[in-house]
Amino acid sequence: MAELGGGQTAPVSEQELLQQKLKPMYKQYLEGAFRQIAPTKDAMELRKQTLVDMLDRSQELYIRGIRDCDLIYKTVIDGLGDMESRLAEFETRKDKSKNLKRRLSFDAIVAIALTALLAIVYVIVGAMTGRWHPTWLIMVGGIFAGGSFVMAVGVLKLLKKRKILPVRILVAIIETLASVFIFLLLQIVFSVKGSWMTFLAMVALIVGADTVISFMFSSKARWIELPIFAEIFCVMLYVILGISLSMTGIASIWHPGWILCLGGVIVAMIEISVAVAIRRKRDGQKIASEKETDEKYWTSWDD
Amino acid sequence: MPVSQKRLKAEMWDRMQFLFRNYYDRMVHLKLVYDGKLDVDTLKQVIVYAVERAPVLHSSFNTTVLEPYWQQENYTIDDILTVSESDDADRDADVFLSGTIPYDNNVQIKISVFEQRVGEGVKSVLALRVNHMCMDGGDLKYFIATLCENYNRLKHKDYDAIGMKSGSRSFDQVYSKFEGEDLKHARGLYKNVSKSKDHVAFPWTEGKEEDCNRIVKRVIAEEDFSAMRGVAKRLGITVNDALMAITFRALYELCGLKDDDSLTVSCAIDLRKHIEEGGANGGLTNHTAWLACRTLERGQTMEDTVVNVIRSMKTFKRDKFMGLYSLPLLKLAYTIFPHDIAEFAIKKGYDNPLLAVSNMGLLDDRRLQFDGLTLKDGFISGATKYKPFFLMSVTTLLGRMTLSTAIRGSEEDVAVANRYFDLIEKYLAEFIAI
Repeated sequence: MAELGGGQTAPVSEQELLQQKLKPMYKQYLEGAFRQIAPTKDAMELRKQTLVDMLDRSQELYIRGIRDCDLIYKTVIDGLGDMESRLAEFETRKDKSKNLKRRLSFDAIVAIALTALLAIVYVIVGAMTGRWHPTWLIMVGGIFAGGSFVMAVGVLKLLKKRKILPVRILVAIIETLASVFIFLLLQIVFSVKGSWMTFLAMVALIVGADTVISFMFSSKARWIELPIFAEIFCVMLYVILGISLSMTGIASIWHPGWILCLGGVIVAMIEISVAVAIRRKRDGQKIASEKETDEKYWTSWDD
Repeated sequence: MPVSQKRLKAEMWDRMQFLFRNYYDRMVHLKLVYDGKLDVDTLKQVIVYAVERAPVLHSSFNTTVLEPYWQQENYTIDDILTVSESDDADRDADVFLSGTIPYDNNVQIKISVFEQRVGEGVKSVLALRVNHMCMDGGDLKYFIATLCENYNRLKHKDYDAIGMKSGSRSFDQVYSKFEGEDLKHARGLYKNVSKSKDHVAFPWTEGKEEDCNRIVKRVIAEEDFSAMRGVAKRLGITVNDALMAITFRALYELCGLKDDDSLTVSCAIDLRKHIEEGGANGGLTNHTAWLACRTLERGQTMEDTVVNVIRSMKTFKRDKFMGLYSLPLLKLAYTIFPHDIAEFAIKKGYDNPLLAVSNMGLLDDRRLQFDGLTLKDGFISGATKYKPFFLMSVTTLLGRMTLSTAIRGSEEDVAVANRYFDLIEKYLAEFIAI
C-alpha cells in the first residue's frame, strides 16, 4: 500500500511496483546512452518517448508472463537494438532536416531580396525618367521572377524525390508566369500586334514540358502524351503562322497549311509502326530461341 | 411569452443524434429495481422540477430546410410519468423500455414505475427512456442520481439543496480547458475519424417484418467482476481495457474471423474530461465521441490480445485531443450548409461504427437510493440499434457489471446476442485466469 498525500492509502499493483523499480533503471540507461549525441530539445523528447516505450514494453512483457524484473529489463534493453547507431542516425537525420530548413529559408530570402531589388530598381528608374508606365513591369517581372525562382528550387528538390505530380504543377505555373510576362512585354513595351498569341504558344509549351517530364520519369502515359503534344504543337503552330502571315499580308497558309494539323496523327502512326516492328522483332527472337531449345531435345546430354 | 412559443437552439450533437435516427432509435434506457414503494407524489414533483430545469426535455424537435430548433411545449406530469401495478414488474419495464419517443413529441423523456407485490412487501421498478438528442449516458447518470437526491431532499423539506444543472448545451464546452496554441489546434481538428478500415459486422440475422425492439442483457456476478478488476489492476490496465480485450476475443470467435484478420471495435469516450468541472456548469446534453480500437490480429493467447488492445488504446489515451477530432468539421458543415444539405453531406462522410462498446462505468448506488427504498439492481443501455449495427452498453452497480445490447430484431437475434454474452463469459474466465 502506497501512502498518498492526505494520509490515505491506495493499493499498488505488482505491475506498478515493477514499473516503479524499472523506471529509474531505464532512466539511468537512457541518460548514459543519450550522452553520445548533442543535448538538444529534440534529443530530450526522443529520450522521454523512448522511456515511455520501454515502460509500455515492460508492461506487455509482464502481461505475457515474465515476472522477473531483471529479465524484463534485459529483454527491453535487448529489444532496443543497437542504440548507438540509432542515436547516430537520429542525429544525422536531424542535421539533414535542419540543413533543409536552412536551405529553404535561404531560398525564400533570395526570392524576397530579388523581388525587393527589382522594386527598388522600378522606383529608381521611375523617379529618374518620370516614366512610371510601363516601368511597373519591372515590379511585376520581379515578383514573377522571385516566385518562379522559389518554385524552380522546389522543382529541383522534388525531382530528386521523384514526385511527378507536384513537379508538373510547379513547372506549369512557372511557364504560365513566364508567358504572361512575355505577353505584357510584347503588348505594352513593344506593342506587337497579335501578342496575345503568346497564350497559344503557352499551351503548347506547357504540354511539351509535361511530356518531357513524363519521359524523364518514364511515366506509363508518356507514349500517349507524345502524340497529344505533337497534335497541340502542330495546331498551335498552324494557327499562329496562319494568323501572323495573314495579318502581315505575306501569305495565306490556311490551305493547304491545315495539313500541319495532322502532325499528331502522323506521330501516333509512327509510334504504332515502331511498336509493331519492335513486337515483331521480339516475336522473331522468341521463335528462334524456342527453335534453339527444341534442338537441345535432340542433342543435349547430361554428361 | 407563452411557453409554447419559446425556442431553443438545436445544438450540434442534437442534430447529429437526429441524423443517427438512420442507425438507431435514439433512445437511452435506464432501469432501476428497488425493494419498497415510491412516494409517487414526491417523485412527480421532483420530475417536474428537473424537466423545468432542462427545458429541452419538454420540447419538440422541429426540422426546417435551413435550421432545426427545439420548441418548448406545454405538458403535464402524466405525459412523462406513469405508475402502475404489475404482476411482473421486470417484464413490464422491459416492454416499456422497448418503446420510443417521437422527436416531435411534447416531452422527450418517459418514466414508468411498475409496482409488484412480493410477499408482504412491494418491488418497484423504475424504467426511463429519454431521447438521445437531449442527453447521453453520462448525463443520464447525473440526471437520475440528482432526481433521487432531489426526491430525498424534498422528503426532508431541504429545499435549498434541491438542484439540477442547467446551462449551455453547446458542444464547444469541450474546449474550455484548452488555451493558446492547444486551443487553436483543437479547433482545427477537421480530420474525419469515422472511417474504418475494417468492415466486420455483428452476425445478426437478416431483417424481418416481425423484428421489434429488444434489450438483451447479461449480468456479470460480483465475484467475477471483482476478480476481473483484480487482474486488470495487477496488469496495470483499466477495467475498460480488460473488457475490450475480452470483447475482441469474443467477437473474433462469434464473427468467424481468422486469427490474422484485423478488427475494429469503437469505444465510447466521455468528452466531459475536456470540460471545466466535468461539465457540471453546462446543461444536460451529449458529450460523447468514439475512438476506434483496432487490432491487426487476434493474438494466440488472451495475454496477446490484451497487449494488442492496450497498444491501440494507449495511442488514443496519450493524445490530449482524444475524441475532439471531426468536431470542427461537423460544426463547419452545420454552419455553412442548410440543414438538409448538411445532413446529406455528413451522412455521406460519416461511417457509424459497426461494432461498439459504451462503458458508462459505475452507477453510484449511494446516489441512487430513494428514501425508504433499497436499491437491488439496475443498468443503463444505449439506443436500440438497427441491423447491422451493434452496441454493447456496460454499467456497474452494486459490484455487478451489466452488459446489454438493444437491437431491433427477432428471437433469433436474441439467441445470437446471448451466444455473444456466453463468449464474453468464456473469455472473462480466461482473463481472470491470467
